[in-house]
Amino acid sequence: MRREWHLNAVLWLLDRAGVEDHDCGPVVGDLLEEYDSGKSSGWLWQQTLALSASVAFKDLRANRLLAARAVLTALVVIVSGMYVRALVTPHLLWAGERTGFWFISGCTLMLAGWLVGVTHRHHRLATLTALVCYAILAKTWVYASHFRHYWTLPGNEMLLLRDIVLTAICICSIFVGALLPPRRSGDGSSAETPRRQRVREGV
Amino acid sequence: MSAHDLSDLELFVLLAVLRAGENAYGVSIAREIARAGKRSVALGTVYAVLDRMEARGLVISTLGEATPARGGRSKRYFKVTRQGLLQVRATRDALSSMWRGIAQLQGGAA
Repeated sequence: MRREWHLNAVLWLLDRAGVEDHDCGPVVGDLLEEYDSGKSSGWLWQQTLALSASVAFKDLRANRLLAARAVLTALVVIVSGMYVRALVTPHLLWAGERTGFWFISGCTLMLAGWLVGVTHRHHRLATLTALVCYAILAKTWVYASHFRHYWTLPGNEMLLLRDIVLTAICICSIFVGALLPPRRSGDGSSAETPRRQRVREGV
Repeated sequence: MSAHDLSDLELFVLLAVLRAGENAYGVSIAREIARAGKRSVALGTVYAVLDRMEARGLVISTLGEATPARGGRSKRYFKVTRQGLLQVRATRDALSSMWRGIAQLQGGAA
């Protein structure tokens, strides 16, 4: 039961990420065959993440302009989100104190991820990777430039760590947003599990 | 090193394809590398290397049968081309030549 859950989750992820659009059907078949022969769920997830990363960077190298366009598209949402955030919480100067700040940041990044996922369905992994790389670089730059502020605030020794964790959660929301919309309007047969296939074929 | 030299991993994958023979597809290639080469390689990495070598004409691939255990997906079989074999031999000769005459590595003591 748990193995079936892991298998379904992996196939859902690969389908939503569009991995099989990149001639990866045989690799996914190999993964399923090995998992069916008794490999652990940890092995399956490790292989899936390695495969997704490999496909993402290969596609990113081949579609640099598209990736740049995706980041620009996301920036429109991110900048709009910054304005909304400033309107909602204008009275507080220090961002780290605000629950609303983090909530709006997370929602904005999720919306940006969703928009990139919808507008770049055939290169979803590559554009998503570009957006996440941009978000990590931008946030690193923000923290590096505001580093000293964290140490001047009294009684906030753990503030930097907490903000980095919250930022990581916000960046993860990009993935959530990007993987939410279905990749294609077909019957989703690429996400068929071996068990479902056996049932369908009456084996 | 010229652009057509084989990397360590490419050599492992080519040798694994040769060892697996007619049944050389992703799973069997990764198993050969793990068994004979004592190295664990992700399936995605094996395919990435094979794709690169196919573009260079060192291997060719054909699609095989689809089975229920594979969720209806085909196997992709690989075969080393003549050019690939020449490259493996050239690499073996170069490595053998490098190994020869090193006094510290003779007699089994490290």
